[in-house]
Amino acid sequence: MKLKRRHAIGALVATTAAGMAAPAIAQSRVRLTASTRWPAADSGPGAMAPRISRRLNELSGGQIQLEITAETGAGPNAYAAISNGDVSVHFGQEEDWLNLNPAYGLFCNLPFGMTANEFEGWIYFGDGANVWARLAEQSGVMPFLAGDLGLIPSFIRSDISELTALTGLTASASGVAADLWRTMGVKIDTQAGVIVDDPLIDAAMIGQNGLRILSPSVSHPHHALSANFNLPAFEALSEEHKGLVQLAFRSEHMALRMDAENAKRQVPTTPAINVSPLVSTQMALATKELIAKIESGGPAASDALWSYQVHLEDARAWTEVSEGAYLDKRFGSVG
Amino acid sequence: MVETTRRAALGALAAGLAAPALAQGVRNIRLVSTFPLQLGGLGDSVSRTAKAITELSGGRLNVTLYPPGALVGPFDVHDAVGEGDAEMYFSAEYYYQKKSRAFAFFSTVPMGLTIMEQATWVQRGGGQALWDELAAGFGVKPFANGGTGPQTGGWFKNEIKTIEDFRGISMRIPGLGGEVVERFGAKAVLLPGGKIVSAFKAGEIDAMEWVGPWNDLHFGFQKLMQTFLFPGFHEPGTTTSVGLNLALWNDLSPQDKALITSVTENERLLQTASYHANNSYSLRRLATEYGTTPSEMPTEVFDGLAKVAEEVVAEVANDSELAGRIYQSYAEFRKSVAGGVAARELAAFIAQRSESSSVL
Repeated sequence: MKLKRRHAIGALVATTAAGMAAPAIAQSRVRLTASTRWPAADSGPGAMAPRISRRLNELSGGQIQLEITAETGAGPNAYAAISNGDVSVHFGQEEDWLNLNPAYGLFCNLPFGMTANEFEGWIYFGDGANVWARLAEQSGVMPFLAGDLGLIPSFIRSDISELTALTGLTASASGVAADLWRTMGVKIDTQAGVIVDDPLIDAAMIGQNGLRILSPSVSHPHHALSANFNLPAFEALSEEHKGLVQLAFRSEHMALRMDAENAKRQVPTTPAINVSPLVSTQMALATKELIAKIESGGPAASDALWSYQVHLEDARAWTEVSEGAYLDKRFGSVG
Repeated sequence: MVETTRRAALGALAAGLAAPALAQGVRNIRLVSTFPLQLGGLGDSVSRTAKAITELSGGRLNVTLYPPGALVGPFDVHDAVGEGDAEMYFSAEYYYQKKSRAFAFFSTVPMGLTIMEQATWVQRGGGQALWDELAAGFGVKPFANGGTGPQTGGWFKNEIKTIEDFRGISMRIPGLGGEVVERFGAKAVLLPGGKIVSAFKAGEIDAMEWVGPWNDLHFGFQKLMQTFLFPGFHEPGTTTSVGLNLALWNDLSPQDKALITSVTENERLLQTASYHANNSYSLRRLATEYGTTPSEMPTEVFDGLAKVAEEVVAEVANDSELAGRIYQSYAEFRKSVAGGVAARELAAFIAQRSESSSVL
């Protein structure tokens, strides 16, 4: 009934006012359901779902209602729920699906990999969105970028002057970063690791725990967040509603990036503990092992990795002569 | 006239249906651009902005694009929107420093914030309220809507080995960056992008900065000059802007205000991403197709420019009470960024990744 009505009005407009955008008259109300990885919050990843819901309501003049129906945590069933259509969309992070395919890590964070700026370039103007969609469509999911927390600094609870060995250490980490530490022989302790590599860390947690920065932080150059749509549910939306949904996701992406950037102003850099060249080399070798695992994820995973590496090769060179060089010289000249 | 006819026709034919967009009318918005519409990156961004507002408003807002010169000149768009001769502009605020040098803080200033730092200052650090206050004096409601990222140091006919090499050259460089090189004996020239090559060929300039590898390559600077320096001191986080006639903005519905705000946020992501990706690809093309690779600006030269840049930017604070508050807010934000973890660790990461480039 809805489609017939839209077609009828579309034809009417096309014959009488060619060139004008189809007006809002053609739309009807849409109710979507959403699950969220994190409890609703005013800032940080927990802000993603409620802010997008509010924004969609506002942008559509109440035509798109997004109801948050579940908080899933890191539960393994969340992806199946999207895939089955139990919810229209899930707000979370791709590292939660590593057990389904290691290539999902490429769309959240890869040690020594892309920064947030580089990742955005790959997703929107490289081939990133295409290879991501190919990977997810096997599960009936349409993935979108909906946030990024930027570089996640590593911290360490220790009074050493330099990190020269990892023997006996524990780390609070998840996803690909946890895989990196694990590959290096560090035991994962999500509650009380000596090393803390946590995208949700904030200035208060650092102050309470006497943490010091472990520099350079190579395990977590950015941390992307995602909105995974049930594919049939997304395809059923009108073109205008698809546009509004993507507009809301991109607006939220920027909001989360700015929130994260703003929060990091509160986190002082000193005194830092330097990672020794030996440990840096070990981390690089461990990352190579992680990359080899991605190849095992099948053709779509292999294509995604190839695309990632091709883009990174060029993006890295540009970053080095632009943002990297400028920051170095800014710190060197005016602080 | 056209609008009325279309609306009347649609209204008559759609009578009896719930037709909010038709019943509420269509607002025609003339969007005047400083940048050529066919220019990759900036031109694409102008077009995306117009298309998104028109299509996603369900026809309530109908944006018509005007390239530079079609309705007003490229640097007259701010005046046109403020005076109601157009409804919306797409430009960069540092082109309007004759109105107030403080406008520069809302595009970029020498030795200033990077693109994400700039966005965060505007949206989270109090910048937008100050910008609104400044622009309201000229009848404009402004938005940041994208960024070209950090700009390179420019192209030079001759090598730049010492700060003395700036003496006597004519350089296309706008705004406060231009004031800085003038203090080293250069002549700063403001030219729209489309006139840079002809000015060089006519011998009117012998150095230039424009945007970065992507746009620079299209203009063919690599065929004109051999010295291509990085990084730039003058535009570390160039941000473009959209401005609406203030009276029009105040008259918009909450829904349309939300839409325009979201479209500018959307563009902040897409335009910035387009520049990062395409500058990356173009840097490779410059090397492989033209044998051009950028050279690092000597530290002595960069530090000399940076020192004077600090003085020039600080002097803006004396222009007016409002300019003083804007400078103060910006300077405090930059100080907090310098002491915080984001920029320091990002720089450290980029350096370490470079050393470990065989990993990926």
